[in-house]
Amino acid sequence: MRKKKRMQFAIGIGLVASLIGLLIVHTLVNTPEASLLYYSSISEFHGSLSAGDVKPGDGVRLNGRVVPASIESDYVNHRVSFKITDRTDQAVVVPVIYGSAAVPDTFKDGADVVVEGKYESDGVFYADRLMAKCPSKYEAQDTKTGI
Amino acid sequence: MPDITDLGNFCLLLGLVITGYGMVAGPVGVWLRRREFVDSAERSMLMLCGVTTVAMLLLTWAFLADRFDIRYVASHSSSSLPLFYKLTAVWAGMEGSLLFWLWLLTVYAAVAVVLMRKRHPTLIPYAVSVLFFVAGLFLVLASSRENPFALTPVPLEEGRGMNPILQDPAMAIHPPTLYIGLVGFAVPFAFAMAALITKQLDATWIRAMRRFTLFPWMMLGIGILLGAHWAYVELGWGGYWAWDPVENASIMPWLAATAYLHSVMIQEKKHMLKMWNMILVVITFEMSIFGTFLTRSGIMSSVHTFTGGGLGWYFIVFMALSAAGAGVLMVLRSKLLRSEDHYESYVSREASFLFNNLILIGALFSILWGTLFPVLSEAFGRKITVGPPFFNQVNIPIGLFLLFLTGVGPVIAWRKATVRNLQKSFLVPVAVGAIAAILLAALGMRDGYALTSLGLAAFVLTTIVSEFSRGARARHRAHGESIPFALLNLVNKNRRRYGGYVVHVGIVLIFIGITGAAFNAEKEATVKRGESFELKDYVLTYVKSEERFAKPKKARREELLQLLRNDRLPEKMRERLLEKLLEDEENEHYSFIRAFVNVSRNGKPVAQLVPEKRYYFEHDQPTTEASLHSTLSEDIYLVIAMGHKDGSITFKAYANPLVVWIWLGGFIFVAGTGIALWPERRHAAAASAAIRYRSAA
Repeated sequence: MRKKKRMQFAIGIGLVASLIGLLIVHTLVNTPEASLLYYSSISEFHGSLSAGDVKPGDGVRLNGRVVPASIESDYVNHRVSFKITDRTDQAVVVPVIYGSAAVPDTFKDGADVVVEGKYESDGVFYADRLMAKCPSKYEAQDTKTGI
Repeated sequence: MPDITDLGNFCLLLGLVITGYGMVAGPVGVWLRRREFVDSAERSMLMLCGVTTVAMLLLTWAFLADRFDIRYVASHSSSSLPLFYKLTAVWAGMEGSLLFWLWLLTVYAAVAVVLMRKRHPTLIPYAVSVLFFVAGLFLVLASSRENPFALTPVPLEEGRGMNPILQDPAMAIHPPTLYIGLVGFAVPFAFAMAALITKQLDATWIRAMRRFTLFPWMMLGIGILLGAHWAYVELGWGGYWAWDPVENASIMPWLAATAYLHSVMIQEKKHMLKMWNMILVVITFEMSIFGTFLTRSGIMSSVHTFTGGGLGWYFIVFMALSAAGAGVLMVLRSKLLRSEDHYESYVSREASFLFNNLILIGALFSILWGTLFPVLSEAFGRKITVGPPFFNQVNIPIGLFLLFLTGVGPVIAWRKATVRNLQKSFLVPVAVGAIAAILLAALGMRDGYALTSLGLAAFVLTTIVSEFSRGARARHRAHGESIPFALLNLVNKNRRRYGGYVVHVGIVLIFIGITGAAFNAEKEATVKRGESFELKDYVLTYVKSEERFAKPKKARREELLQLLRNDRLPEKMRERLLEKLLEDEENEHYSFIRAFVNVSRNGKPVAQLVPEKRYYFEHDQPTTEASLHSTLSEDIYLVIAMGHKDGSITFKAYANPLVVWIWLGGFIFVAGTGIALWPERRHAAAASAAIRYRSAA
């Protein structure tokens, strides 16, 4: 009797655990916006683009640096366009259009940014998330929690 | 006269020596049966606490004395930084916060020694040894590569100042609260290890650690909520939670500790889940170290992580060592960790607590998985990261199931609930929940998750209310007390149980608040003075603006100082100038543009919002000051995206329903934990236990 109960509970536990596992996998596979390819440099992204690993329309997260004097704000259509490049190697540049005029306070020329969105066949990266970090001048750039 | 830095370094080195000794003294004392060694290990912990306190004071002093020859001070302060922020700068950066972590740990350990040495003399030698081991990690870091007292290569005249974003009163409370939470879990971990080593595996250590777990759990909860509130009010993006690695790092240990706080009740009552509780206390501790590690190591490409590389290895090795040590001990003691009782039915309190645990750990695992996903995927050659949609989609169903169990767990019968039993406890709550959901649907709410969430919230609140009323009526009948008095006594005589219920009310309110996000709306608009734009059924009219263009502060200062140097300056004028100089310190750090926006709904005025955009010269950085109007039903939240030369302004407005309920829930959560933490009188505890058993029968 006791053993049977234990077995029953083991099954129950296993069921809940696998349901959670299934939920995770299901979300990863079936929600395109849930997972993004990410690149820590623009040249890496470009390499991947020419190799065909990333196709137009794929969700992508890119790390880069804002090219000085490239920021243009369009307050009629409410979007901001700018270019990003690598921290060290400025050979490759990706134009970005962010779909909002409200940019983070730390977003400016030379800032390190993370953009999330889609690279389309017109050669423009359409970002729907933009996060910015100050140039290395400020070490304590932890804006949310300070730890 | 030795310098601050010499004294500071001396403190850290002395700390290392004490730690080296203290780690072995206790166990050696037990081994040799020499009480004096154990005593000296205990005293060493108090001494370590003293030494780290002195180190903290020295660092604070260095900030107050503008010691810009110290690297850490130079990179986080400047002579013009207000006094208040010089104090908060002590923990604003990496080196200082590691020292702060260490200091808090030693304070916790010292308190534990003082409170526990008489009551648990057999556990304390090992517990102290483990705590020294944990302190060792932070001492090694603080005295070597992350030394807060390290000098700059070239002494600087002026510090680089503090980022204006960090210059916020919340930064004085929020990081310390989080730290007090994270650090505190080291104490239950240490006592759990001591219980394993000494084979005292009954509920003794769990009872001894109840408050030592509850308190950090509460502080971490407060820290998380403060962080969310701060992000919401200060960062100006209209949200409070972004599933950022740093946020995840703080919620994971909290989830593990929540699971632990629930499952220990089963061990205390039924002597079950002993092994599981050990695992949970280890997970909680490792997660709190991992949280520190995430924010410190730079492993995540988060905008919020510090840039120090290489530090991660210290944490990885430490976590591996502590987890392996705990694992080996658990395997060695596995026979003693067997349950003394067994489950009888899925429809029982034991089972609902077990599933509550599984769900909490499942949520933790999904968040951990999502947080580490970039690192894991990279190991397999594909660099993939997951964003907020992943976390939301996975955690909404998990959260809803948890909410359901919040209603079931505390009320359902032990062992096996009968049909009558279920009817008595749940008929009314289920009906209320269902009616609430149907009503909301009839009113036009169409979001399935939101309907489920609000229906469940109604269900849970009803179970809690009926528990209170049942208890109060029982007292009313038994003791003839008036109902309000009976209610008060009920809580007072059984603080742990009813405090827990109050915490549940807080959590339900937080769920309600989060549910509001399903109906968030936002709008961006560029308008000229006098023009309006619409958001949902609100009309926002830009009425007027104010601007101030402050001179760059340094130039201004120079100008005034030049004037002051003039000997022939009349005394009165000198006073005025000095006054002006001091005023500037406070007021002219920044320029601003401020807009006055009238909000109306159906033609009736609702509020005037005054968002602001500031520009700090010293830092060459703007900051966005959001303006918001909160009501119980909805927040209207407005920021200036940009002001234009032609006088028009681009606004971004958000309508966020129910957000206030999150903060209200937070207050109730704290109040409830406070009730549960308050010491219970012994006879009252016995009496309430009698009532509890009667009601359970």
